[in-house]
Amino acid sequence: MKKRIYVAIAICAISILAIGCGSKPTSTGPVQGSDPVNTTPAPTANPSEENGESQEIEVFYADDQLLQVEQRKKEITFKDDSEKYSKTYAALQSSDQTELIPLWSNIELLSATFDQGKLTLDVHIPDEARLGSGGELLAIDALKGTFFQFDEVTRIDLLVDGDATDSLMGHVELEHPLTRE
Amino acid sequence: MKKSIILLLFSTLLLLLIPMHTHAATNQTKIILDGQELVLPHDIEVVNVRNNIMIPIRVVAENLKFNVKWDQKTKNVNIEQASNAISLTVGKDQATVQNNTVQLNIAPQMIKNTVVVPLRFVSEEMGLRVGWNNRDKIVTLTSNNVSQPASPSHGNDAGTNLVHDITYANNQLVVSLDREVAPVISTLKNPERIILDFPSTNFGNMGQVPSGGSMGRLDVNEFPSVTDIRYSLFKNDPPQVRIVIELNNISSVNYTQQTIAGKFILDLSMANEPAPATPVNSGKKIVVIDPGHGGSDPGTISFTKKQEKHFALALGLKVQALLEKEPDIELIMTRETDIYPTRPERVKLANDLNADVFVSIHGNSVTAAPQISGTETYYYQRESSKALATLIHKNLIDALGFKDRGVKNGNYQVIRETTMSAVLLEIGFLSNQMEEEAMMSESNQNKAAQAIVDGIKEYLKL
Repeated sequence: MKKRIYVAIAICAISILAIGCGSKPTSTGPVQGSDPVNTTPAPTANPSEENGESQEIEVFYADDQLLQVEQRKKEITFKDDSEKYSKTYAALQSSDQTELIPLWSNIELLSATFDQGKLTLDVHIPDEARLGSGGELLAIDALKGTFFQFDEVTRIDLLVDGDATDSLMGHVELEHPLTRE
Repeated sequence: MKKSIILLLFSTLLLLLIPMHTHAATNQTKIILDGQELVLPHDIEVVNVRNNIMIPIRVVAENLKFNVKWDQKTKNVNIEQASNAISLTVGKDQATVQNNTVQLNIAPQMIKNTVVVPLRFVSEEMGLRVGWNNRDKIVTLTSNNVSQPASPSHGNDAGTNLVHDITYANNQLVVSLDREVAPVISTLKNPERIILDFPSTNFGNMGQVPSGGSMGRLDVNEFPSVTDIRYSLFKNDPPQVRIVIELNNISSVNYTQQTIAGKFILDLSMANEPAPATPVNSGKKIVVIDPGHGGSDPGTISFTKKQEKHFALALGLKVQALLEKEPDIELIMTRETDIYPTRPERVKLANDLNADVFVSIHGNSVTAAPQISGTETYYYQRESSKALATLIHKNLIDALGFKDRGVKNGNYQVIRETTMSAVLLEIGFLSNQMEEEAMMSESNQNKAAQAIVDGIKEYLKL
């Protein structure tokens, strides 16, 4: 919640700046390139052979009956470590096979940061993305299976809208952080 | 020597007492407004005329802060405050209240050049509550708008709290409330009674709501240590619910109290049992029904955008209605409204009640695979839970005809940390169009409720 307020304040501040910039010579706006998001989509569209690293990873989904998790190999490309984790998360969100259910499909990743073995994932869960008790257990299993394949990740702190909530979807307690057990 | 000292002390005491007594006798009537004594001007007296306390209109204006207009010619007094307006005339025992004529006990009078008006009538018409202590000659006036900020400890919602249910089993009185409130507990002797006063509390949607003055009773026939448990709306404005537990044959009264998930629990298990031979469990089985999620936790969103918490509550209340008819079952709900008891609170409630059965009600969802459907029932490890799960599950499958997704072991807090037979029901998939439609229908919810009740009764061999 706090975070959202900060984001809102930041957006306001940026838009005020932008309005301020508008009256100045127009060249300053685009040159400054204050919004890095605008520059990133281009490389993702291209195959990033030039500067990107590519890696084959295991990604965990639910089977088509939502009974257990299954893993599939997927290739991700990324420029740096932080992108590796966000790309891995993106892989969790979609499957190319209809018989596999991506459990994190509508759950939005707000940020992924890695520091000394701890991967902090901050997500936003729209109401329609909330799973039942079975799905919630499988989703946590899928997340752990997928991220703990990276040896450097020893702990995952899963936050909801920036908060260390007691549960992801109201059935299972959420440990902070999740460990390899 | 000694005697003379005592005599001396005694006479001093008498001397001390006498002036106090005479003072009290001559003391004029005190008026206390919202807990504060009104400081009346020196030259002003409150008079008692044929048991009517009369106050000068100057007091009405200066101390009660009402708008007073005095018309010397017509001897008419006009008193206004907010939307209330009354008009009185000296010597006339009729007054006008919002343009209606009302009869007065006593007419306003002119005493020593001062116009006095009946305090009770004026105060009540202006929205104050009036109390009269005849012994000490104290008038207490309470304004309604003051009584509300008087209980700000309950957070932002200063409205009236509601009692939804009162039950007694296993030496525990359980009072289900809209939100937590600490009752004032007192005890009386001959016979031994425990009195619980819930401030700013009224009766909610209970089975039998005692109306003004009447009393509700719990059936305590099977509890030898309790003679009677009665409850009533003890005060009206603001409301106050009083519950009295009359104990039987007890040498001393002991109790502990706690509040869990909006339920106030008074545990009398420490009260001396007259016959320790009586079984602790008086025969009634305690069933806790837990409608999942609630309040800040909406659960999932259904195909037609309905919240899971509302489905769980609707079904839970239908189960409640059926189980309350069962003479051998004492039913406790973890929530009866749209509130969010935390999972540890739900667990603690069931464990502290020493419940026999715990049933958590949920609706399933997986929007990424909307074709998935079916009923599944979870238990956690314990064989007793598995037996309960199997029986309820079978009844649910028979009643609703949804796909059978099976009885499974699941590591969920409310069924793991509870100590009795505990199950978590995923009735069907709210993300599946057909199943959602079925789950939202009243008739299917009634069928599901009956199936849950049947499963519980089969398990309890009732």
